[in-house]
Amino acid sequence: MRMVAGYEGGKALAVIKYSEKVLEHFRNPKNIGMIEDADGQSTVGSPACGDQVSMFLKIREDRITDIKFLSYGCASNIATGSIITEMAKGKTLTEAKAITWKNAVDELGGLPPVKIHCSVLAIDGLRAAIQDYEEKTTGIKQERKVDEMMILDELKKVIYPKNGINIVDTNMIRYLSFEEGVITIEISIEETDLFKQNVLEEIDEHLEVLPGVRKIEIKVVEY
Amino acid sequence: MREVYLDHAATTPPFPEVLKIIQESYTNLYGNASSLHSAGQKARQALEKAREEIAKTIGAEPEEIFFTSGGTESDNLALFGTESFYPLQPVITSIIEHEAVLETVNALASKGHPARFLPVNNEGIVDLKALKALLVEKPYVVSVMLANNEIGTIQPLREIAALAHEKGALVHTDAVQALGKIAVNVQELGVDMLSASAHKFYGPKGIGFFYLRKDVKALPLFQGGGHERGLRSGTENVPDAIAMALALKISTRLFTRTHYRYERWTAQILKKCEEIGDFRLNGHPKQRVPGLLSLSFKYINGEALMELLDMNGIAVSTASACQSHSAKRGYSHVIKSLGIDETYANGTIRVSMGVENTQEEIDFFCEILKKSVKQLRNYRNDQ
Repeated sequence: MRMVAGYEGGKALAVIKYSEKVLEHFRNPKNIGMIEDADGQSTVGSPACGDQVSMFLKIREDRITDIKFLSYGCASNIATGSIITEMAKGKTLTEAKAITWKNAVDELGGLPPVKIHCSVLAIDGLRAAIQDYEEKTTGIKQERKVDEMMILDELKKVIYPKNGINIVDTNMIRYLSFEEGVITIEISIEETDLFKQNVLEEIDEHLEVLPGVRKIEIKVVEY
Repeated sequence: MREVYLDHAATTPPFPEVLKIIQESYTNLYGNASSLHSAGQKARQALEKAREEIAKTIGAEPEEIFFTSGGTESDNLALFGTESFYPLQPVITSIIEHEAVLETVNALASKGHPARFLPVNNEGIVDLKALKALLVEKPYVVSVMLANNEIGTIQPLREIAALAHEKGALVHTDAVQALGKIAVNVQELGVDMLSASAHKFYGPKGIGFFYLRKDVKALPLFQGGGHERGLRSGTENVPDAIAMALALKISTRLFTRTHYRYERWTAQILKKCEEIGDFRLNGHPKQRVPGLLSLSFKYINGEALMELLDMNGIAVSTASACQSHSAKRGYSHVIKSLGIDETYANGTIRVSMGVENTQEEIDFFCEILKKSVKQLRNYRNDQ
């Protein structure tokens, strides 16, 4: 890997510090385990890269009556899995599907920006498990809907020219949400960065083709 | 919370004597060592005494020691400082070098020196057959680290140097992880250049030294007032140089005693790992720096294990073999080069002991390690 001045989007490296709540959910995660006769289940991520989540759902009358998860991930991954299983328990499927990554992070009292990927993966697991249940009960294969995971995967195709590594792994994406067709992204890049315009245009190109996206709001932030 | 620091391969806490001498030198030896008045000459005298002490410890002459900012600068000086005398000749290094060497070699490649990387076996030892084959290309320099920073494996430098010299190549070694831990003698090793960093042997950060054999030519990396006999301009950092010499002296004196202790603790930790099960010790079982253990646990996320240990006040470091982590902390080209099964490789932590560690701390570490691995394995999903 060639390093060039301005690596990490030209910013000083972020200090990784977890909130008390993240630490608590990592140390004593809720709903760890598996459900043998789950109504819906999923496994997302790749064990080869050390981040993988499995979700198991028990569903009665469109309501999540029990939920468990297993994780082969880092602290953020485990803590997010723990908090979203708590948030989803007792909710209807529609309500559970509406839980966003932002909701989970707010509930956790924030997460370091470097940890976006590991955390989004847990949300992806929940949605995939619900989808598994719906497909099994209706017999209809669903198109994958646009979600944070899909947006993140698209952003991983945008390469930061200064270091040849995508903008997600370069830790430039500081915030991400997708609500009512609007994608909001905060990207950390110097105003004076020669590649700023290129990067922003490329983000647009990758995201505007996603189905159901009405608007893309990119905010350039200084942290 | 109790703090147990087991990451001495990253950096070490300075000896109290080192802190004391830094303060004393800043108080009494603030003169510029290049000044001709007595305040300057007092500092010069102390600086040259530090140089002599360092030279003596590694079997060199004082004029062969140059003060630098540390390992990275010394590595750059070794490879970049000599390259212009050997245009377009290849440079050989190993695939498990520190980035300070690897990236310098990559930069040399773009200046027209073909870069050649020696493979290692699954114990992390450089392949001498490959070296012999590559030496046919007439490289100008062979740079192989003395001890690896992630797995602690000690390389057969003497054999490497003999082979390289036969073909007229210079030999450089990054000895950052070896000094203060094992006996290092440039004559015995037969190297022409050596890099060292003070903060790895309980000295201050931001200072190191470079050994350059008398008859080897090198050019400075940057221009200036011609300090350090023209090879390294910039006002001499006298207090830190003195502190580095002292730190090297103390750590070299201590290591026979600490080795015995580290071996005992190593056996204790490995026994605990046997209890835990499904683990492996990376690197060479014997040819290694005492007190540095690279441990891989099957089906464990190394980062999660590091984080869990950290929450218990224990500092170790982690390494991952996953390519997608290359821009993140923790990606390791070293662990990857050993060809370890992925289910193990991603669960790798490095434990490196130091002089201030106690039996009680190791007992505590063993207890928490077992608990943490057990806990994380309960979370896992691919049994």
